[in-house]
Amino acid sequence: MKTPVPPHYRAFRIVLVGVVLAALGAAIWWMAQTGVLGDILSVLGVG
Amino acid sequence: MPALIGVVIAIALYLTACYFAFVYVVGPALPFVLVGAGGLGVLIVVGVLIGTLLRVEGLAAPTVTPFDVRTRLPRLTSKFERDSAWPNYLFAQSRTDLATALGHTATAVSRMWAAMNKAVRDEPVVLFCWPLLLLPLAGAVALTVGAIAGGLAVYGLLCAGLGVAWLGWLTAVGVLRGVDLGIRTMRGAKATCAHSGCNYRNRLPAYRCTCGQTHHDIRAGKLGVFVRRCECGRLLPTTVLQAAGFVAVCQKCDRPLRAGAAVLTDVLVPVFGPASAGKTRLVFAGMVALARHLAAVGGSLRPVGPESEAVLRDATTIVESGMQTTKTDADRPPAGITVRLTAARRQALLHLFDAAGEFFSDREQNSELPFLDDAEGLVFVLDPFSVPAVADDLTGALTSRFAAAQPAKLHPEQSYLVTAQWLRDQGVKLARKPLAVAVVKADLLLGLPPAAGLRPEAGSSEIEAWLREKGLDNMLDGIGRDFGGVRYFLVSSLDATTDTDGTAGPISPAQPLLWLLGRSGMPIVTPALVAAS
Repeated sequence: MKTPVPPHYRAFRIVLVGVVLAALGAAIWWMAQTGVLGDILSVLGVG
Repeated sequence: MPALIGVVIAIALYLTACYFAFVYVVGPALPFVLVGAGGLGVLIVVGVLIGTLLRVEGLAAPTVTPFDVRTRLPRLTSKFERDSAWPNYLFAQSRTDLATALGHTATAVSRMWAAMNKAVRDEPVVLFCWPLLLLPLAGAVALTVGAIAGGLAVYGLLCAGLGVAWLGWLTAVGVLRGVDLGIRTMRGAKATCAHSGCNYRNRLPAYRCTCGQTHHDIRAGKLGVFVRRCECGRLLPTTVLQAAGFVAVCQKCDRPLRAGAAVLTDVLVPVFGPASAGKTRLVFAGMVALARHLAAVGGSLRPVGPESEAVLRDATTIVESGMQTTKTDADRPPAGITVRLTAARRQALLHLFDAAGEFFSDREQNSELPFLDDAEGLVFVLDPFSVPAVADDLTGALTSRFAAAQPAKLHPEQSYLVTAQWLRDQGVKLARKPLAVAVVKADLLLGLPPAAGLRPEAGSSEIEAWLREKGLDNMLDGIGRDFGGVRYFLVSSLDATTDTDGTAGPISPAQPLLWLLGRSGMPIVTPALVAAS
């Protein structure tokens, strides 16, 4: 295939990456807000 | 005895060392290992997925190209395979990307286990440090659990996102297809192949890209919602209305269709009747008269395609000079004559099909006339001089008039019955179609004794009554039963009979066509309507 890959492939992939990073950020934010992160750190003895 | 004591001491020391390892190494380190490895498992899932999506070297998924769509997308029920175009990301590439990322993650985790397994097998002596080995083992388990949990969460989230996108795609495709088809159905638009021997007709033509690739179904779908990308890279629209500027080709014979096919109102009118009835003459004179009528009411008629241009040019010459029309070649199937009509800001393509009368004489040859199946209306050419009751009255001094009429040899009823039966056999719902019965050669008929009382301005009921008087009751009853609407016209095809202002007169050959056009969604204003407005 000599023609370039359609630009919408790239756009879709960037959106999916954004969704994953946003979800990861949201999960960390949620853990921090609800104290789950603090609990984990205290279990490790560093919190 | 001393050896036994030594062994006991050694075991005691080993167990003591194990205890201290548990208490001072494994115990404190285990939470860090579990949390760290679990988090690492999640990060591996995310990292590999992002790397795959961003096409990092070594992680990128193979690209689904137009060559793969026939194997990667579900098969079509159409007789054609999928068009060679880039598929929408949602339907092939997304699955490939996610599956590849998932595969890389699974490979990484399994390699980790394989490496640990290999290390133990290669150096079994490390098993003596088994308390310390619990740390990597717990780490591996935590990493695996983290990867599985992270994978379920991340891939579940992406699948949900792609599902939402799929719903959006479904909605957009439904709206686009519905609007496209709705507008074209309301217009009565169809794609009619005018090539001799094909004459295939449907609502969805194929389109040819500039690279030569034919796209048999350009509608919005898995190959694109708003546009599709041909394998050559060129963008094509996904609605027939938007594709008006592209080369439309016949789905059956792959030859180009007329400009405006499937977009403009499409009116297909076959003219049928026995040989020598005057079908070709009616088509020629009808086109010329229609052109004049349209010009008089502010519209236009122009031929579409070189063949139609040549036919209209010949027709104009023959009709204006009063020359005889040559007999239609019965050796090959008829080609359609296509003209583009414009009237009151509406446009339509009118296809007139004129087959040699021999095609209508038996059902075998009728099978070569596919255009009869899907016509908006039909014109039945009835030569009054072929009616025995008329011919019998033309004796003595009137024999020369009878000979000048060159009457059709087949009785009109026989021609009608064969064609109507064939149409029924094809499943054509005649009751939904209008039929214009054109009683031709009015210029020769009017004034003769058999036509006494028949006026040029005679209406449909008067002409029908006259035909019944001449013994065609059975045929007329059959016509009335078969067709949804029937109208009788007295027509002179000798010239394009017009009124002084250029509009079609009462015996103009354009009258049957004007009536059928009006019934097919292309009403053309008549002088009466002009006066009324």
